[in-house]
Amino acid sequence: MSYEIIEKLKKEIEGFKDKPEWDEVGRVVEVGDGIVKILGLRNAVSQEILTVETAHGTRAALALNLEEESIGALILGDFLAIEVGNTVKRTGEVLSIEVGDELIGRVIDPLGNPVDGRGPIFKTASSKDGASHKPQRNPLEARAPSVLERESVNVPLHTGIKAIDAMIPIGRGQRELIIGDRQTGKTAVALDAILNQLNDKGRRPVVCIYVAIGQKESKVVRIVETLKKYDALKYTIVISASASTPAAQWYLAPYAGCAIGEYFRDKGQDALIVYDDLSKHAWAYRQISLLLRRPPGREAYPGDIFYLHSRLLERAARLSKEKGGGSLTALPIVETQLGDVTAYIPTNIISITDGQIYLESDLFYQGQRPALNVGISVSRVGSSAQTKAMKKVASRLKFAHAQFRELQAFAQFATDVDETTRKRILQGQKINEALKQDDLAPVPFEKQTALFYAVLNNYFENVAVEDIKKTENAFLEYLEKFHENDVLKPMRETGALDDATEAKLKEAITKFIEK
Amino acid sequence: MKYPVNTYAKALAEASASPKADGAKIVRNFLAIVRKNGDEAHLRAILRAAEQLVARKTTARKITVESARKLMKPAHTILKDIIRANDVVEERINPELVAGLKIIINEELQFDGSLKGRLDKMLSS
Repeated sequence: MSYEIIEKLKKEIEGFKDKPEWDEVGRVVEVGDGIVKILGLRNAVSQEILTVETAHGTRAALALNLEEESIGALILGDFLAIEVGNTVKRTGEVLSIEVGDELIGRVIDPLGNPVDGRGPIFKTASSKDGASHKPQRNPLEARAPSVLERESVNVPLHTGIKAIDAMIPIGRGQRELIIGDRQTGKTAVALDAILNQLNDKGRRPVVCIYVAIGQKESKVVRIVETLKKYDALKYTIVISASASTPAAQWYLAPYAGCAIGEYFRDKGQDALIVYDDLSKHAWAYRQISLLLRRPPGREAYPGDIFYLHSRLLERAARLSKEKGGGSLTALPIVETQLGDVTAYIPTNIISITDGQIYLESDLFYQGQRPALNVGISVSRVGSSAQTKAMKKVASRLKFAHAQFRELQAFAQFATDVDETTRKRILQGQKINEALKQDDLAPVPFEKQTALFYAVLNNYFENVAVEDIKKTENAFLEYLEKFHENDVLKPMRETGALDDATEAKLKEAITKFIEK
Repeated sequence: MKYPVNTYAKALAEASASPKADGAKIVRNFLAIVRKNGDEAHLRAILRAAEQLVARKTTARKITVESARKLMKPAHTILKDIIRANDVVEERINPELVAGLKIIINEELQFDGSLKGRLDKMLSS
């Protein structure tokens, strides 16, 4: 037995060749709160991985501050083992993460380690010729695609949320901010967008990445369970930097998610990334910067807080055909305090993104779910990505909804209104009802189109406002059962509502109303 | 800590670099300031950092030779190719190295020829 062990050990060390060389080293002079100050290592570069040799093994650190005499580094992992006087060495490598299709369906931490208890992600498989295949590594900090490498956003990314797909459409490669106070349904919107990718069968499938920054573990578990329940985990990757992890993990999580998203984007696939949320990311960066003694600016954030988010969100793009035609769509989430969108971080991210979905607590408590404020929500590039069918009905929907909002305010003061105004208000109320939607129930775009067509063309004239929801459910069920092939399928496949399909849709609605 | 280690180290290194420096006075005043600020716990780190800063400014290097047990011949003879006339050589016994030796120049360059270093490398590769 002992011979066997010795032979095994011999085999293990056979390939090991070591030639001692002069290494550049530094010494830890200060340590605390996840930060170390290192003296020496004069040739280290920014974002380089350093290894700290402690009594309990080596610990990795990320070089962030390169000063005249010292280096300020962020410890990745357990910092309690690090002591003053520990030796620090360079690795010559920048921070990177292993990427690959194997990540799909897994829950990982920002350094790529699995946290779902399902074992290693990448098998160390060897090919027939004996060479082992190492997974690709993508750097956490990468250059955003240049102007020439990009293409304009022109393919829709349906969220399954009626109000968004109709009035604030999102395109593949777009960056759309979801902003609102706590408990207004921001995560629910993002989650619906992920779930709806299963319904969006007419286009290329989308790989979804959900980055939880500083979220409670219980919330992350709930999200993973929801994804599993709705069969969405099979195309989703969850990156969790939960509330109990150090600020370093919060800071790195969105970059890790982006590096994974870029893997799919560069392969010519479409990916969607949700950053939940960037306010907490900014807090983590503020904490790190203050501990590194960087000068504080507005709201104590460091001077480069804008660049922190702009360089992250710029990596979301639709690539040109020459570059494979892949895309990375970003849905960053920002939490506001008492609806104040003029705070530092919200204004920064509003200016970086291509539009925002604004959720209001007042609307939420009035029963409008999703609590979307259509008035100040906007999508700057998404309309060119909208399908022809949706465009056909959405332009009228936007107009009718805007008119209703104006009249509604006026009607509150006037007791008597003329017949036309009364009709408009009534139709507006019906539109409002039709825009309401339950949580975790995304509606495919073809069904949305059919529904809005019916509402806007007054087919539901004789339906009471309170009955709209019931009628809507019955109508969509009726379409699915009896008009899948002649109405829904053509719309789903072509994305257009041509004359023949429109005639069929009219006929279907009339028959439904008569029933 | 009132001031970072580096700030203390820089001050000490600059004060002692002056040609007219009164060593005893500098040490007395420096210790008084560190005590007043309540930063005595960091004195070791401060001195180490100051040593490194001083070494950068002078031509004389500080060479530390670490070995598992006392070297049979003095370090100067063994390391004659590395050590210059005005270098300051410090010998340290570190049984953790198991065998071989470690040479550190100015706390910035290190040659790890110890068995412990090789084993660590092998286990981490």
